[in-house]
Amino acid sequence: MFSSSSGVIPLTHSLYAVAFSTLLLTTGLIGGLLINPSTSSKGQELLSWLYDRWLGLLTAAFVNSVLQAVAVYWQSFHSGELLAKGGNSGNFVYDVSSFFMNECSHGD
Amino acid sequence: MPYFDIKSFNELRPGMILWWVLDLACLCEQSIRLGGLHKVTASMWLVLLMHGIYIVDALYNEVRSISLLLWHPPCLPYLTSINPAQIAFSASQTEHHRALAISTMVSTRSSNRETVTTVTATTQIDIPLHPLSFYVSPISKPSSIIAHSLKRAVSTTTKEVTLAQVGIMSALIRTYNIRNDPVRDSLGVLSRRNTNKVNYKAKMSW
Repeated sequence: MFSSSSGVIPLTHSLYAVAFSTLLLTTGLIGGLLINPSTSSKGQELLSWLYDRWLGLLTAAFVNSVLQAVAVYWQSFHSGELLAKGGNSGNFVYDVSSFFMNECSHGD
Repeated sequence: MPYFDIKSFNELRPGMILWWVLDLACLCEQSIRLGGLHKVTASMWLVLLMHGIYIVDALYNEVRSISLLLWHPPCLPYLTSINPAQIAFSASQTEHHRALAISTMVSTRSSNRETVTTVTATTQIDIPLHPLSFYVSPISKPSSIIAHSLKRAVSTTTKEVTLAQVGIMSALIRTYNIRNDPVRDSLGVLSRRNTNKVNYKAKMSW
């Protein structure tokens, strides 16, 4: 954790810029699987697994997000944590739900 | 150790990329149901295109666009992939020809009163109600549009009624925003010239 003297976290592209390449990689792998005639039908069946279990995956993701929100809220009481503007009101409900609804916690 | 933001991570990795993967999964499901990738309907390709533009934009401009996104639990990809899921569920082959429903929001202002309505112009008027476009007839009163949409929605399935309600709500919100936004006055002046002859196809604009 590095923070400058002004209290603003320097946002570099060191970590973030990888996400776009990840998208390209994912699209390339899935696209290659689907376009190739020998693997196309198998790939379609593989991917429709996600469609068939949509509700279960959604439920798992919801439980996961609630757990993460609680964990982040608990972590915010540790000393030296930088708190987001929108998630630092002092109200329990508002602060926990800020994980879901507010802007990203790295602030402006 | 580089700074790790769990919200940014949730936004981008399971959020945006899984959203795209789920879209592709819906494409595959429709392909299996209709029998081949070449039979996938145009509405599905359109959803993939539009979502793709959004996702690529969000990931390419990561840090700049990230604060514009207002909500992103890990559930986001599941909720936003409802559109292609619905298309994959309900698409038939006959829909393929009618599905070129590129809908656009055209805000217009009636000539005799200061009512701002939001109209969805569709390329074909007999398109069945589906997630890409909610049906709106060329009427200038918002209440008539809502009544018409509801009347049409009642005859469809429950899932489509829900989607119609979402469309109506967004239309109402947009109406409210435009009415209370002085910047939009130029748009109203522009469209007021054309209100004598109602031809929404000609007035489609992006």
